[in-house]
Amino acid sequence: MTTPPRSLLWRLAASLAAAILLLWVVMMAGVGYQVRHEIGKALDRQLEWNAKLSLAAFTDDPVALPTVDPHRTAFALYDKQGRLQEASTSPPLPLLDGDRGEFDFNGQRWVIRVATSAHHTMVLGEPIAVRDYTALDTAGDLALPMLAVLALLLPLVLWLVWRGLQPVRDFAEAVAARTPERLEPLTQPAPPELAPLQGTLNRLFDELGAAFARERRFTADAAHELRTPLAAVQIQLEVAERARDPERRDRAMTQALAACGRASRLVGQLLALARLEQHGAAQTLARERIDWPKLCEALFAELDAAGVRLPVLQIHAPSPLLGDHALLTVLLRNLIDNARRYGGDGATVTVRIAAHTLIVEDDGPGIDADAEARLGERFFRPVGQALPGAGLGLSIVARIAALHRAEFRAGNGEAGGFVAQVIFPMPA
Amino acid sequence: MRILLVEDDPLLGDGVQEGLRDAGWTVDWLADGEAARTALQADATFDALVLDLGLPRLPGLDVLRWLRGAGLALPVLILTARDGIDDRIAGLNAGADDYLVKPFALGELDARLHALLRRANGRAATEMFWRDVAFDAASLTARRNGEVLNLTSMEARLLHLLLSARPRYLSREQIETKLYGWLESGDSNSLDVHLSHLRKKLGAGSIENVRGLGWRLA
Repeated sequence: MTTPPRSLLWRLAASLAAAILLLWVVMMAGVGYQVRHEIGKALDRQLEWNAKLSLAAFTDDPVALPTVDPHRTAFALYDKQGRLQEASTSPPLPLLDGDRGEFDFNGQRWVIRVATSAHHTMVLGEPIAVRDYTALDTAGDLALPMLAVLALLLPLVLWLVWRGLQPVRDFAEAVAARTPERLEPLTQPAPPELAPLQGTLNRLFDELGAAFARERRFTADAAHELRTPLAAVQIQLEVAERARDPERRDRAMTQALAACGRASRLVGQLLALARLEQHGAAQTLARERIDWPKLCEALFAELDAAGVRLPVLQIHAPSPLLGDHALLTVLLRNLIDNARRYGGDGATVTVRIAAHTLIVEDDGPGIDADAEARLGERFFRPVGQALPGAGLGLSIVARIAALHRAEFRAGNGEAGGFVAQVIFPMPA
Repeated sequence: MRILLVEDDPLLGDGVQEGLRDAGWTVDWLADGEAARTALQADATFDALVLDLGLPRLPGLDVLRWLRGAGLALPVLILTARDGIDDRIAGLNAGADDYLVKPFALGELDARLHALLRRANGRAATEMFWRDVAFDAASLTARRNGEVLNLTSMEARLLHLLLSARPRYLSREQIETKLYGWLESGDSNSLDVHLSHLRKKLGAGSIENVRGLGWRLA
């Protein structure tokens, strides 16, 4: 399980704070180095100057030797011949070649300056650590106010980031205000970073809204469509109840039963469609190797048992297809049913399966242009359709085809009759 | 009384037709809107229109708008599967006089049609009176001084027609259309038989016949 991503505020604030701290450390290191360098230069000059000064003073007045803090300064005075005259420490600072240098002495590293006059040489030294302390002191004096600034800067950064994220919060609030019933597009001006998201969401809202509206319409339509057969059941039963002669009563009872059949068929188809929607949503479609001859054989046996005149079957080199055997049986059965229904009594229904195309056609009169245009509509039944049907058969076919990524076309054929085609995708 | 039923569902249409015929109405049944419009254009003898809204070719509401646009005052009862308030308002605004939501009881349809016709004829009472005869259109029963007259269904419908048309005369053609509609055509002799029986039951001189004009209650 992955940990949930941290909040943007936290991420921005933390990374900014870390970056600022890092910069502060780098800066302080830089400052420290610079201070140490500058102090070193200044003290070098001072040491050199002191060496010269004390040598000059000694030359004028041999007694006037400097008094020194032995921890901070040491000197040694040599004569022309290199003999030690005076020293503040024991052992004394040694005589060096040249006028400057560094060396270890008394367990410390010392900076040395040498001043030479006609008769004497003055060696003046300072432990380097003194300089480091001084530099550190100075840097420390600088660091404290900067640390205070930093302490102020961090909440400021936090606040700025929080404020900077205000459009995101506004956006989230606007999105949160959307419900499946209210999916109007987001219209408030969004910063350019959020604009693509807003555009995507608006498109999604649009599609969702349309889908919800479709579903609502479908549910409403379904409920209404059920009312008509129910009304027929009720009316026919009332007619039967009132009928005085048995012949009329029987007829009304038969009609009531037919209406019941229509209602249950409609409910069955609605359930089938609902299940198909679930298949689509959950992607639980089976992917079996479809054996068309076997599928047709089983279906035809069923149709035969139900007393249906069997279609002509032509299977020619069907392409291999992975799909849902049960659903494809429903699809074929619906198409055959449809062809029988609209082809008329005498029409011959032909099922042709070749390559990746399934065609069910009849040699009946076809349907009129008005009906052809409205063919895909749910609950649409052409005028004068006396056989029981709910107008959902082709919707179911279209849905099953879509689940198999197949193209579904239906309409009047060029040679007359009604032709339904399902074109499955070429195997990848 | 003659009714045009427009309903595309074969089982419901059949049931309503049968049921209303049993209740004494003359019912002509069409299954699409376009045919209904043509029929209404051609035939002005319908007393009421029972209209389903979800019709093929021409939706029920369009038929209704056309009807009102053409200035026809025919009482219209809508049969609708949609019971939303908006749907009802749309139906009434398009010119419907009443509506029934599916599924409905035959008795209610019958009662509402009677009420529609009463209102259309400017009557409030359920009974129609002539001399000492009281006629109840809903039950197709006639009483004389409280005593039930033994009328056949056809005679009762004939009496209903004559009562509704009073004081106008009804021609043979008008009576036949109103009694039989398009589908059943009784032969003209049978009408004479029914008229003579009715005249006998109501009393001599009850039904006047003027050649060229037709019949009416005296």
